[in-house]
Amino acid sequence: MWEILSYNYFQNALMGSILAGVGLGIVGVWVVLLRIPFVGVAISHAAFAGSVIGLLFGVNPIIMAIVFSLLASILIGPIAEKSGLEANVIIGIIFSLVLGVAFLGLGLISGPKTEAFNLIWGSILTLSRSNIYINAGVTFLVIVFLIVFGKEIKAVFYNREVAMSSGIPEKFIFYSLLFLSGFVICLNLNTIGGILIFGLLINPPSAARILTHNLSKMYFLSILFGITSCLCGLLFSYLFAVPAGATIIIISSLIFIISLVLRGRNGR
Amino acid sequence: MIKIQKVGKSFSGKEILSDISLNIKKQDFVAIIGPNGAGKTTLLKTINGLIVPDTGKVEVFDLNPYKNGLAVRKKIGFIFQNEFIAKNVPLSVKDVVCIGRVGVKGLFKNLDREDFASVSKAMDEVGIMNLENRPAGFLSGGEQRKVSIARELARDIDILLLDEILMNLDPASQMEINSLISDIYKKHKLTIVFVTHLLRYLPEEITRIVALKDGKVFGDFSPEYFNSKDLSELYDINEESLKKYVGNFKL
Repeated sequence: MWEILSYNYFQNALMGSILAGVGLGIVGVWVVLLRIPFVGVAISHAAFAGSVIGLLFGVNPIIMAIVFSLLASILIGPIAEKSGLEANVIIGIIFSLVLGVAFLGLGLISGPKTEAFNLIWGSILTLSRSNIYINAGVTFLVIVFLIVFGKEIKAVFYNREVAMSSGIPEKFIFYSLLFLSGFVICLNLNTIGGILIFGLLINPPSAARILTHNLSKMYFLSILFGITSCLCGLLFSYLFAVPAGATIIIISSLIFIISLVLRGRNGR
Repeated sequence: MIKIQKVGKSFSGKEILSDISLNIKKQDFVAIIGPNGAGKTTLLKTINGLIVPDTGKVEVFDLNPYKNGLAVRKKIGFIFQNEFIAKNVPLSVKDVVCIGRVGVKGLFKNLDREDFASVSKAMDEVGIMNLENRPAGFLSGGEQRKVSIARELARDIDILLLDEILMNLDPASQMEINSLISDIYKKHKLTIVFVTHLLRYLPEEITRIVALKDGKVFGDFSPEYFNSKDLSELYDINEESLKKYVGNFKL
């Protein structure tokens, strides 16, 4: 069994799993506490639309996927503010728009569409070393942002209006959280897939929130649950030849259920 | 300290504030009253620059609060209407009070011993030291109001804006919070602007009552000359009916 560790593709999958656990574990806490869980679905489908448009116009679909998902994450905050609607409503509107663009593009593509669908289904075993380096860079950026602006992020979680009236640049913090969340989600689409990434974004922080009332512990547990889900998913996928993405999400859901039971026992 | 000159503001074509002029001096304790939709909250938010007026100008500490938003807001405390702590946010009481120091401290600096000393002093003053490590979202309404007051006190402010902070509290909590605000006013010599509907619970230390109606200043009263007749005109209610509700109103 251990010889599998000597294969490049498995090493990449292993590193990709750990990075997905860390990155999504952190931004998962952000989207859960900002109460915008569907941002994951909107951004992953924006990436899908981007890759379809890339294929249609002969541009690299991965680059277009990144451009589309970053655009989506950048636009949510300002549109919500301009329209006076909640960020969740704007996320829904962006989701429907990118889905429309993706289906329109799919209808117009005559050749194979596999590359676009890879982002929706994910394929952890085909991660390249350059994927890993980019993921590691963005995960590092997220950790630095969390360390540098931790106290301001806490204030934004508490109440955006209070943060603003306390002299905190809350718009900069809120928009940065959305942008970085979009970046992490987009870069992990290859690992988990656009449909399933929602589970890895929401389940670990939700399980962590059930177990603690302390924000630092919530980050720690969310990362731990994220990494555990990814590594166990990868292991089971190798041992039983089952799809890795689906296994990762089922394990993260099981962790949530176990946390719920544990909280029930502790009477909290 | 706060100069409001001919301020007007409309939202979606509806005029909320119209030609409002007010001068609030240092250590004034102003109660702002008026019917729903009179523009009380909008007026408070123009003072700390959260809302930009369409016409007229506002000056706080001789500065424009929109152009100097971050600097001005550091010296103005604001407790919002319905500002209750969401249960899903895992913050302790101390975490929430510390938020008061975050804006003061500025970016790229961690809170230090001096900040934590201010936080402890503020919690001690409002009597929530024993709740320090409790999850803030699980406190009672009255306790949550005290946490918000401590958060603003920890900031070393000159002006405190209070927007209907007695709402959704039982009478005992309303009296307790009122008495706390009075003590803070006396001890810290702050300038306080206090928006309220609960006329029976106006703190005794109030120096002025400004009544707003339809976005305009209906009257700027000295408390000793404000009575049930003014109130009935302000709310367009028969004086006798109003007496049944708020009693024989005379401060």
